[in-house]
Amino acid sequence: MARYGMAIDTKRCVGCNACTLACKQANNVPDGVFWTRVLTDGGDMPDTPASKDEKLSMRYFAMGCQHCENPACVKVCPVGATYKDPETGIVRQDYDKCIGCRMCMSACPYTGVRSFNWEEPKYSLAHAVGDADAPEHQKHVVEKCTFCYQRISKGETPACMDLCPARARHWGDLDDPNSDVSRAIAGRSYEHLLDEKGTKPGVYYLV
Amino acid sequence: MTVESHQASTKLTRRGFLKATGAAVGVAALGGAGATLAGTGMQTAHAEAAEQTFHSGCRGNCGSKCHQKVTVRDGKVVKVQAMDYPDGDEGWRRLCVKGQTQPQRQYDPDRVQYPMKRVEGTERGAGQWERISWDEAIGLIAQNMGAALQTGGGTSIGFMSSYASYGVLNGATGGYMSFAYGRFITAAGCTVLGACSDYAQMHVQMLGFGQNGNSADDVVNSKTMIAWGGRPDESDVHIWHYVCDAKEKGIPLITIDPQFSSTAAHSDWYIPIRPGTDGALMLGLVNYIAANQLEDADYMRAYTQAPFLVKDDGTFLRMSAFGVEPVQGGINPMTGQPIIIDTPAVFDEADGTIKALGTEQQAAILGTHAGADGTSYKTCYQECLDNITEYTTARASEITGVPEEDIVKLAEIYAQGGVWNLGYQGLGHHVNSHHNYKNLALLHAQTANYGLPGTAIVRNTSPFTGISNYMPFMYGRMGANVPSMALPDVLETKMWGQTPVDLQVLWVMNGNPLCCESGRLEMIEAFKKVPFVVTADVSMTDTAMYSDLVLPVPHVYETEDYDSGCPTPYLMYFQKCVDPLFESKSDIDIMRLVAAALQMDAIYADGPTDGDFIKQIVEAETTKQMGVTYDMLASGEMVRSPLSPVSHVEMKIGNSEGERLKFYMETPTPRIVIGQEVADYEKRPYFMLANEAYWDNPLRSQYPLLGCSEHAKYHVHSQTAFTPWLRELEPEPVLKLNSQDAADRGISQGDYVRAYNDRGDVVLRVLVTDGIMPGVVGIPHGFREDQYVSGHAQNLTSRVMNDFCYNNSYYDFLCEVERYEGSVE
Repeated sequence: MARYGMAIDTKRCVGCNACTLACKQANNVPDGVFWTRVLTDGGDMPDTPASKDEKLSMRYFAMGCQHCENPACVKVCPVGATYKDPETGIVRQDYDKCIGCRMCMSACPYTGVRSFNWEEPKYSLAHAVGDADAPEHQKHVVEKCTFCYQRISKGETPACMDLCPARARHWGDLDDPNSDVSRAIAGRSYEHLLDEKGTKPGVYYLV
Repeated sequence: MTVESHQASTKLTRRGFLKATGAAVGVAALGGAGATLAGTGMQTAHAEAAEQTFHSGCRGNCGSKCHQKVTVRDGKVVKVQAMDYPDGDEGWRRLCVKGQTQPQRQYDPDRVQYPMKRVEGTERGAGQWERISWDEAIGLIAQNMGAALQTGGGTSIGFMSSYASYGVLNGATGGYMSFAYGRFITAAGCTVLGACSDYAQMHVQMLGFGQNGNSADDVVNSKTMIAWGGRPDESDVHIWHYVCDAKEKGIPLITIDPQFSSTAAHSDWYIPIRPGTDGALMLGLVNYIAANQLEDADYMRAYTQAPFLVKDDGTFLRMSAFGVEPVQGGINPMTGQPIIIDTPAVFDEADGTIKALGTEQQAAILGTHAGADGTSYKTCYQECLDNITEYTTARASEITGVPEEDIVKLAEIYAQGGVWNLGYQGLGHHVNSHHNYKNLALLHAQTANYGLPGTAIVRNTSPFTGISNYMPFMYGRMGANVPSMALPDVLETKMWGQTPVDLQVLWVMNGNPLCCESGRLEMIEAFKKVPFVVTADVSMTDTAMYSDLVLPVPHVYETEDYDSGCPTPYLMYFQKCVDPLFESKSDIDIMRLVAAALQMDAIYADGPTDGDFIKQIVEAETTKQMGVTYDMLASGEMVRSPLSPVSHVEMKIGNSEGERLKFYMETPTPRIVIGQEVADYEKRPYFMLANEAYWDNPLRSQYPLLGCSEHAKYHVHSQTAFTPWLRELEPEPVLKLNSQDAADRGISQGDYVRAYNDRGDVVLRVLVTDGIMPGVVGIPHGFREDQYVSGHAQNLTSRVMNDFCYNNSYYDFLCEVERYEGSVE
């Protein structure tokens, strides 16, 4: 039993998007789909600052599925395709059960972390990249970050954790005080995205 | 057969990438191998095939040189990860957003697949290509080169390169430092048209002064970090985590930049500065520090040129003037010539006499001092100060736009020592840039910010020492050394200095100068005048478009190579992971064929295999005692450079002349000597206005906006211009425009705009932001012609260079921006 989670240090993140494409590569994520991406907290466009009283400011938030402890998506799925894995605490998506109703997408307050494949997924390359055992993408199902289930089931870390250039990402079992993620959170201020929604995310943004 | 041009496909691609399915359109239009499968969006299924991993790396040359673990499945590269580093060296483990996309770059629809000839009768650049065989291609080359050699001699064949794709076999470091090109160029006495980018820094700071920095992990020992002329968050992201470690220790970060970068966002103090004026700020700081006696006089005395005495002719007073015979002090490893030591003289304040450096009690760093014969000499420091008095903090403020009180505050921070400058080439892209590196050196000399732990004048991009012996590249001498941007002049005069250069053949490799270097429109016109232009490249670059013959070369994973540059302690050897795709041939294989066709086979005869050549580099007389063998590299293991036994490198500073921090050039020598006059001011810290981009330029009434750009995170030169995942993150080039400047011109977020000046124009989308200073525009770098609605960002730039360092001046332009009303479809 574990409760996997992540901590992302916004004081280190520079929005380089290495994690974004590590995820794309490892999971052979189709064109136009992102399981994780970096959002700018600043101006009205990516990589632009907010300007207030002649002071400029900009922060980055790498955002994928928050793997909530109290996930809004699980509650609304009519067929149990979206479920919380009791072994890992990961919110998973069973493509075989998914009927494509997209209720999970409407219920999830974190816009954009899930996508629905209206068509057969498309790829720039003629061959699949990434992990040989990454699940294949399917038409008419909802997909999202799996915390790289294929990797963690072998004791590896998710692809986005493999090498953050800023060393801003921490991963592990939130219930284990000695895990990398628990040690990163200890003694630091953090934010949860949309805390008020009561979803209790498994992703901690260190501020 | 006539092939529908790549330009057509890339035009489709520009439009296509703005839509989700764009890349598939590009592939289908190419009609090449694999097109149908990708065109349908279908992929081959994951097979349960065995995987094999290889050790290769990025040859893109942003400077980081990331060691990569490359996974091959079913004969195709499917995964790229950072190689693991042994314990204690994890900090040097590296892979960026661009590295993650390498499988896409390798199987890019933009790749050149087979030799192509411009269709007879079409204009150069028209984009009509005929597919030809390698036999025909080599035949054409041999015919043109053979004729050129007979009529114009070796110099009538020119080889032009830039900074892409380093490697001792196939690369072109310095224009000719590889087996493929060095052997041929030096055997036939050809013309080298070397890159001009970054030469302000390279000629003065790196080669002239021999200055480098501590390895980046040293920032945690500093008191203050300053990102001045660099943004580690984007252009050197692999050192950013060390900056974060330092910040967590409470070490403040200051950013001096016309643009509010991510580094600026993480900074404790952001100082916007007008582009091209950094040198004036440096001199303002120097003057404030001198006027307030904030110098570290002991450091200046012991470790800098400050106490040396300057004669009327600008050279140093040396002991030979007092009858002391110079002595020999070993051999210069760079030139092989003996080093002659003629000790400089200093003025000893203890007894008021002039004597040999090293024999004094306390050398004077200031003042004018008379010798026994009554002749007076200024100290080097005094000489420098006396020539920069104009740049008070008030004047520096006027020029730079930095408030005077901020200059004072910054000077006081500098004077406290422990300053680590994270900057680099951002200071080097104006015509006046090379002076910055003298000024910065003087500032760091005053304040003891060099050669000590926790200080740096520049971040060290390649702190570790690789193993190399360049001699095997040579088979004779090159015929002429021409800065590439001087191509139009050489075509006009058919001379370079005293050497006749009647260019008949131009061969471009390891670079895309018509996209990445400044003065693009003039360079295109020059290209059109050369009778025969060959480009060897992985992809269909802007430069390839203006060629007569395009040769496909492999992606780095398809050939072996070795790069002696060592930004981490491990030697950069590239294993061949898969066979070359399509009909591509490595540069060295192409040159073997060319040489054979010209009956010059002998020049490659000692390297029947590529490995034999790499052996000559690492197992030469001078290198083999290091104990590294070709077989060790070829095994794919991480091989540590024996010359870099520790993971932390600090610059050494000492009391002898050669070990001292330099800010004065006793005998300033141009990058390429062709009999030009050298101005007196080249010796000293100095400021001059930029050529075009300065605040008080009357031309601003017509073109009010000052140019600027950056090495952006999704680009390494133009190599990732079409990489699909990167274009999902950043679909098209944008022009950065300050919010007030946009409002003044009726321009809104998302509009298309036309930026223009007398040289040319570009139409592209605007990014309205407060993250760039008012009056400054940021142009993109690394996008290709077809990705703009029309024109090209480099059409705005000029090829104006000084003849001291022949440096590209990417930022030294003015322009105006207007809303674009035309169609962008």
